[in-house]
Amino acid sequence: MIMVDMLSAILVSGIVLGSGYALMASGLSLVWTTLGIFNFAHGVLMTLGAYVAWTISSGGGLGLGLAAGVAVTVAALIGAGILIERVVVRPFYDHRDILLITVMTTLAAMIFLQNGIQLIWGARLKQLAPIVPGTVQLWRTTISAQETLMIVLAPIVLAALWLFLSRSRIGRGIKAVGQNADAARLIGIDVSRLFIITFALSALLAGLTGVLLGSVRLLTPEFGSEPLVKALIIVIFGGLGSLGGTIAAAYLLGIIEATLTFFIGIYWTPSMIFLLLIVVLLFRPQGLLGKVVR
Amino acid sequence: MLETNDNQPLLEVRQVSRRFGALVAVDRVSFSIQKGEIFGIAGPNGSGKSTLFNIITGIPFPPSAGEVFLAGQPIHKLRPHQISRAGVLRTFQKDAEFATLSALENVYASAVYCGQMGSNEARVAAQQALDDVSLAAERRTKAASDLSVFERKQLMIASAIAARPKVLLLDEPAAGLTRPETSDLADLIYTVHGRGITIVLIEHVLPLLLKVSEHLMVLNHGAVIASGKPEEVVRNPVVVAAYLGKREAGL
Repeated sequence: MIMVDMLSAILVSGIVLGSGYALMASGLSLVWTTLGIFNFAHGVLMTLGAYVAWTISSGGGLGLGLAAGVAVTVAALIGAGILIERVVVRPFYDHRDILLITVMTTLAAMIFLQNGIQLIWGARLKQLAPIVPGTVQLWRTTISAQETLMIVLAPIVLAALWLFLSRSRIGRGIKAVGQNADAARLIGIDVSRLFIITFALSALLAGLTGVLLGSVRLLTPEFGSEPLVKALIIVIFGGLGSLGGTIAAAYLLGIIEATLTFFIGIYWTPSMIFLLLIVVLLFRPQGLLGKVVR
Repeated sequence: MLETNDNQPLLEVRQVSRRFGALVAVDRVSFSIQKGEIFGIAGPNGSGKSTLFNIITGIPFPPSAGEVFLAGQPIHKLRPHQISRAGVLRTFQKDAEFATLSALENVYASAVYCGQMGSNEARVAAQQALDDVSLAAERRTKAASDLSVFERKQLMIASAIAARPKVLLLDEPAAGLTRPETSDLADLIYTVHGRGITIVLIEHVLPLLLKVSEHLMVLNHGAVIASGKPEEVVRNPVVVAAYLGKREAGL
């Protein structure tokens, strides 16, 4: 019985972690597959989402409630995503070294936004009220209802994202641009419009992760830093350019992290995860589900 | 779309230039092409031929200066996808298809996005375009990356004609082809031309260029050095010097 309880606890907390990682990493992966760059400001967009939602909805802020909080957060994140694309990415589209340049510019945007958040909201810890209060019993393990919401919501959001990319005209256009931007322009696709949509969508996913995690963890200006690093690992681990690989890797990493935390403790877990990444990349340089690029 | 009178050129390029820092890749080039023409462009490597196609289509960059008109309408300020939709399409020397999509899906995508067709119309147009370029039926469901060099040329041309362009710019279509394939390519160019599409052809393979072109323009160092009837242009000493090199011309 104790054995079953232990496995259940590991599995449940692994899936909770995996749900957050999947939402976070899919946004990062979307920008990578479409534009071929890593957006290092992705983590701070998650932080921004949580702070904006706190300001609008919480009693410590404007106290306008959940619905207003979500609406304003969505608008703010779409705006922030578009702004980052416009200001720090767009000027370098025609540049040969766009990948390296945007590492610098998006890191700059990250620091700028992080310090901006510190200036506006201060360093004092904040926490969002859970969207659904209470606790839930899941496979003999008790977790908060908010974490259950994450477990349920993540697959729905990811399935919607997948449907959007594979079925809608805009989504297919985004995939076409990711494969060959010149060919996409040639067949009459407005490439820069799709870059903007991609960034807005990615920012929205980061913001959603922030709102969901903002009641489970405490808000600080560095709230998004650790999830950003995890998301980077997941995108590489899952295979660059594969959304399915990213999602699979997110859940796998969640479960591995929960297992390691249980057995070796929280202190050594992050380094063990990096070690694992290195080992995987030694044997599969293309990542878990990535295809070898010829 | 405005009606065009018979004397108005279909494509008119006026004084276009493209600079990269100190380098002038295309230097105040002007020419005009009548509807239904096959217009050839020759010139040694680095003479600015492909750059000229780049700036006409805006893919990947517009001209630094100058104007381009399609049926009298200025297009040089349009964005790349708008130029494509207006009816100026091109092929690339490099592969420019969606590698994981099948040949049919590639052509279909062009008909939908560029030709602005509904899905049924686009399906018919895609099959028709693949018939026109004679891509074997059993090859049409293969991923573009699994096609041979010649089949990929057929695919690129089919993608273009499925969108019903007014002008098709062909950028060295014979590159990498065997001699019999080059001969098939000439037939392919005539087929496209027979569909009412005006053609601009850049080519290194001179016999092909001389065979199909009705008008020939020669570039060197980004500037026009000769333009006229192909058989006269190739005898022009300036062209011989530029194209064959000064040493051979001096013999």
